[in-house]
Amino acid sequence: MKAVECKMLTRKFSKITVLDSLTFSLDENKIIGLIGRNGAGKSTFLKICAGLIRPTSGDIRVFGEKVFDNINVLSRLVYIYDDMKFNDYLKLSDILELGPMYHKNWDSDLALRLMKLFGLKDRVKYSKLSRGMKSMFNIVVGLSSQAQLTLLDEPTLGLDAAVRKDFYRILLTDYMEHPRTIIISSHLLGELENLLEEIILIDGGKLVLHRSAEELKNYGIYLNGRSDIVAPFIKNKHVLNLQNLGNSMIAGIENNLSESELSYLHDNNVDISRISMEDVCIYLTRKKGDEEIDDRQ
Amino acid sequence: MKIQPDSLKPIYIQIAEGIEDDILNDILKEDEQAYSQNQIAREFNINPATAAKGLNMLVEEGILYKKRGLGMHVSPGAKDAIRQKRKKNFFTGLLKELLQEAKKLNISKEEIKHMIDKMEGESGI
Repeated sequence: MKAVECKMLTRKFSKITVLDSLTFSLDENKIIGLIGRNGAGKSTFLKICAGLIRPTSGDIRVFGEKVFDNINVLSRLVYIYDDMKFNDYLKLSDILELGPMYHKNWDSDLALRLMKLFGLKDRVKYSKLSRGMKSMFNIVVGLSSQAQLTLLDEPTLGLDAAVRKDFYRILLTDYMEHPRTIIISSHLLGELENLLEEIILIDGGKLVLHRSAEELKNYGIYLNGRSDIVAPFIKNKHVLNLQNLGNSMIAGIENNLSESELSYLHDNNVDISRISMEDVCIYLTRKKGDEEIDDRQ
Repeated sequence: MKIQPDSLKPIYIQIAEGIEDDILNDILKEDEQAYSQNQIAREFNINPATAAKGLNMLVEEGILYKKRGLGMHVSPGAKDAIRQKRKKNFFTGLLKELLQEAKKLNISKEEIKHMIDKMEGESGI
């Protein structure tokens, strides 16, 4: 069974299309990265996935069932996001005590362990927490729920590097002990990329690509050589990025060259190197205006 | 074993090569237990599927074998097999690269030979 399956999933807010005909499906028990720039539609997608809002048109299924108003599915997922609303009068310990009511697999031991690890005091009220501490507590709730579908929307917002590292380690260890489907959204792959098995890249509400991390790592290459060799060579190629330096040129293109093309480049002293996953994502979601800003520098 | 997360070399290949290095350096001995998928994933903060891919690559090449219930083990003869493989890579990869660079720099074969002798004398390689 698929964990998430969407067909032509579209969401509009008044006249603005935030999600545009998304069609893809996600296997169970993988850690998946949902990557996109600010305003790409990541949170809207996760909110629909979590049954918080309805799609305008199209279809989404979680574990084969409709999500919205379906307690059967809702009880099997958790959605953690930036401005979670917990009752202002509740202490952290009160919120954790309610956990088992919402999540049947709730792991109280794990919750206590994570609270200790993050140094969170359970007598404090959620509303009194700092930005980073809120993120930490959201993570505690997200992981302790042990939900079959765990949706983490920018979970590391406001966390310092040491705590982020702790979080990645905890997430992996817990995932290995209890495999489940985890979707993590982020605007940057960066530190995440080695945790992920699959990557969904969206931009302007549209699906740009859905690949395994390994495939994305092999997606693009840089050609670095003389302009009079490289420029004609890339004429009919999909160019991801272009840099000029005097008579030399660095062109980022898709990694699908034939043996003869590779040996031609080699014979003409064109150096070939891989483009990092993160840069591929940046190039594929670049807007027209971005380069003009570059030019002015 | 070491892994460079920022390297462009795929992580699963880094894992396979890291284990090979540990076998060559006698850190892992033949017929002894190798690292498990979960150990590697936890140690280097990488997805367990990636760790499994690196291990499976070595299983397919006969360098590791699965012992039922006891995990991955180093195959007898693994060290020799790795040496053979690396030798081949040395000729097709490293040596070829060296000769190409030498050509670019107009270094003759005699000069290269001389450099090798000199380096051996100095560093005792």
